[in-house]
Amino acid sequence: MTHSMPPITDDDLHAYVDGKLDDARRAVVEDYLINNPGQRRRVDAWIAQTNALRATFDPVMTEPLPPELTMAHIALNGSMDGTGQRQQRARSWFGPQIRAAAGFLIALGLGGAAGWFGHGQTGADQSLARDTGIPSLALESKAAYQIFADRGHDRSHPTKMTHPTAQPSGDPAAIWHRVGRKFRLPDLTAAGFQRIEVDWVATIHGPAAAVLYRDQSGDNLILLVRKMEIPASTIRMVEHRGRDHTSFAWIHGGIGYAVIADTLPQRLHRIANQIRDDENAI
Amino acid sequence: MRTMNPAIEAVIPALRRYARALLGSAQDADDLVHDSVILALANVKPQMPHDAVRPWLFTIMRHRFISDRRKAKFRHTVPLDDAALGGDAPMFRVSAHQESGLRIHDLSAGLASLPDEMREVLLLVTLENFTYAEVAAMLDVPLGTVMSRLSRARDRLGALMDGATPPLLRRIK
Repeated sequence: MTHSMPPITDDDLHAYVDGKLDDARRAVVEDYLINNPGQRRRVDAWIAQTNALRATFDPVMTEPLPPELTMAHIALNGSMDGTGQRQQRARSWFGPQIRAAAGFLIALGLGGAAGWFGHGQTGADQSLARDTGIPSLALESKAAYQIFADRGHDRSHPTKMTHPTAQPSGDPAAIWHRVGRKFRLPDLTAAGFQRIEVDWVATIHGPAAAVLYRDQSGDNLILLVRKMEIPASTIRMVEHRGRDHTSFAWIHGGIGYAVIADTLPQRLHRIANQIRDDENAI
Repeated sequence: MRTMNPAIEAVIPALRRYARALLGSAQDADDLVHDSVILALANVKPQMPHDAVRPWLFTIMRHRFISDRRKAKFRHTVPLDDAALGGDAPMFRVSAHQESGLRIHDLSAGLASLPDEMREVLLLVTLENFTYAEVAAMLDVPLGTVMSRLSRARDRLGALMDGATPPLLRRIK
């Protein structure tokens, strides 16, 4: 026994169990425990308890995160609205029907979130690290695409935009009024896409216009347009590649745009550039 | 600001683990984590050192937990049951070579019956491996208080698991 050392206390025993002693003190405690079987039993019971707690709850660490706990989701729904409190308030602005529909859009959008943000964890982090609204535009366009355009392989029937929150469609003036900006519907005929339908959709960031185009082979393309929360912001075009779709999103003058299709990325990129250049020219 | 997002995101699994153990209910736990991360994102400082993120997040979650408790959002004690731990989750399978003799059901029920202030100290130390000083700072209590809560939590949980003593008789308050 090293009698010059301070006496062993209960705190030492806990620190021993928790691995928080330095080597010298741990050796002293171990000596002490050899000579004090009663304390040894106590300590062993604590160790067993700690192991049982870890065995019970450590597996939570490796459970897949539910979508609402991914940073992509929280950042889009929480911080982009500002504080948690502001998010609460924002919720009350929406009627339950729109809220439900928005949730539906989010749920669909996030189904492919991993693919969207690209290439695993690092891709997601990088996207969010410079999140400016572009990722949410991409997600929203994917949700709109899945609702309105992605109807499996049966392309014999014209896709009709039908959605619980959709207004009677076809009145661009009303739609652009809702979106908060008037602009002509892009003509993509030269690129081989005919305009099929236009409507507005609910997103968590407000109403957006969704324009459905289709080419001769039946490929669908959605253009999503909405007012961004930061006025007059401009962000250059960003490509998002999912498993099945590619999208390009950009922001010009506070208006966000996203085009999405399951067509070739190069072709879509050219179309996105055309839309952007035409818009900028107005 | 968003440069901190990866550092925050990296802590979410640990926040879930702790919240699950603290609350018992998986749904309540994930709600608590969700609300806490939103609060964190609203208050994050971009210059925060990375090793400060984890205690900071746990502190935010603790405040949120206390606030929720005050609003009686959660029941006072939440017995852990199979559903609360995720139904058929493999965490129930305690390996045969584990000689602790502890049954998970006893552990969960015992944990749930601990007072919040004992349970949080026990979990922050054992599951999350915070130092005693970190726990004291997070709880804003003296180190001695942390140690006495830890000691009482361990003794009380041990007694509950042995089934030797009815829980209420062990309550020293």
